[in-house]
Amino acid sequence: MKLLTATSRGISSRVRHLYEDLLHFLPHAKKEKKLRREDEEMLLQIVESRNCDFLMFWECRKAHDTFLHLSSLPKGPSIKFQVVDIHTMGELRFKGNAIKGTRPILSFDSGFKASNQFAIIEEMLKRAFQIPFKHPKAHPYIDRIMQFNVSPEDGSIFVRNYQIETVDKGRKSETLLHEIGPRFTLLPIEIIDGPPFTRRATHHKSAEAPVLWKNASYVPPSVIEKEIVAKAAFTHQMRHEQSVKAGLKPRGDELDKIDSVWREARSRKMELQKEEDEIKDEEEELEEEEVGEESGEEEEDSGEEEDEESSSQE
Amino acid sequence: MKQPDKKIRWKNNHPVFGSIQSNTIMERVLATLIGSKSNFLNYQAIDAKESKSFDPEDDTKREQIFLEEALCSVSAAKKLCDSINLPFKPPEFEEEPEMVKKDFAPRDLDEERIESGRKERMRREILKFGKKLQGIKEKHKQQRKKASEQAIEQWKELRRSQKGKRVDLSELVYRAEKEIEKETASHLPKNTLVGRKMRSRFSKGVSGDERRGKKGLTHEEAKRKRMQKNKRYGYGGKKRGIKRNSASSVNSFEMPLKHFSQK
Repeated sequence: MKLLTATSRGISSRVRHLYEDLLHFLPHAKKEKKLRREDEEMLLQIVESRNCDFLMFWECRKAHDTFLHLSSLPKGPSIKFQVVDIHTMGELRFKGNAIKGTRPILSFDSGFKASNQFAIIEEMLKRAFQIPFKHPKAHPYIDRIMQFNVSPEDGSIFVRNYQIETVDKGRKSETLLHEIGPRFTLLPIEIIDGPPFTRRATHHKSAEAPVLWKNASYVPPSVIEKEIVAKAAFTHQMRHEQSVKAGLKPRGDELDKIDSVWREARSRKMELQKEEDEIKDEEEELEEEEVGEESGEEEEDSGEEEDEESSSQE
Repeated sequence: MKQPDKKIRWKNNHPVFGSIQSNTIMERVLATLIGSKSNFLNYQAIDAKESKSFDPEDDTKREQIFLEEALCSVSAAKKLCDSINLPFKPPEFEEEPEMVKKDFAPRDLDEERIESGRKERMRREILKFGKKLQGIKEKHKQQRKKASEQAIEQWKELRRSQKGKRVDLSELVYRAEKEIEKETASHLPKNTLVGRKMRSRFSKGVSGDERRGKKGLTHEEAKRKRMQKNKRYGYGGKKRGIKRNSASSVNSFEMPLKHFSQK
């Protein structure tokens, strides 16, 4: 699986550390520079130019929302997740440590077999987080395990990394697990039959790709923020009404009178500015016409002047 | 972020969502992804047959369940790998191999727990000690009060017996109080760490001569110490505007600011 990893601009430090931590586990991956808005429209072409099969794209918006796109790009499906509850390796400082380049065991929950969509998600996660067999940087022994669990309420996926340690006690051997590295949860949003659809890239082929599945229990962060704002606005309005009843604040009619004064002044200002701009435009047009006439005359005059100067010098 | 309890509908109900069409398309997609050959070595993936349901809000139990499931899958993988001869232990390396975490100081959770326990115990002991001290001091107060009342009554009797003459009250009271202080001074601790801390904290209500600073020294003791050190080592700081190697000092045998050895 030829993997290409990339991020968008506007990535925060926490997500950057998570990205770098995961790259330690994927020595076969090809890193791409930070993609700008124009580049996000050409994801297919970028992947083809680097001769890759699979794309892992981290999209960060508004400094606190991160999304992960996994897509197998020539034809295949692409999945969009929201990444939540990120804890990086440096933050947690767990005991576990693994050798770089060992191929992990990927263990999946029984929730991945319950439906077709989660079976597709399972296949994509396998391709994203596994080093290809007989890769020159891969070591031929097993050191760590990556655990994926599906929560029964949301359908969100918990990702954990553990180190496998075998302790010999004579005949018996005990296995101990120490947690290594970053922790995060993925909320699946949708599965698309085609290249990934990032919201910035509007004029895009992928905008036409059909959506195979949308998660009904997913709430986008913009909606959550609007709810919070609406709640605050509601409480503010209730308090305002109470204070108006108590006579502490003026009623809406009186406020409208004050507001109307300011509105009139503002509109008058806008009108005056418009008139000034129109006058300026007319003046500029006139100047251009004059300049155009003068330039034609100047060319003829300059030729005559040069002859005069040359004659004077001689 | 936690999702709210309300279910919110999408603005544009996509026609393909949840329909029979999409299911067949997904099956087709799945078939292409899985392919005909399913080799364990390709992805080294293990699917659990039955797994426990977990509460995503309960952190400790949830992590425990993840650990247990990982252990199960490790044991299942070992059976598969033994037949293929894939080892779970790396061979002995000549040089140290490159690790995922390079210079990391692992957090010893046991040590942290013990240390935090120690700190809490110290805090609790100090509080208990403080309460004890408070009780003792209140007792002393009451004893002093009693002594002063007794002294007043003695004075009244004396005055009655020696009518007309004046009797000094303050001396009696002072003596009575001093006696009690001598008795009660032994109750307060002297030189333990906790005692010193307590003394410095409760030194506000004490009289001026007996007040102690941070190190448990009174004003006089600290002054004495300071003067001794100043004599020996000077007054500290950069020596600006001091005469050295002047005519008088060269001929004298007094100890200068820097000690020169004769060797």
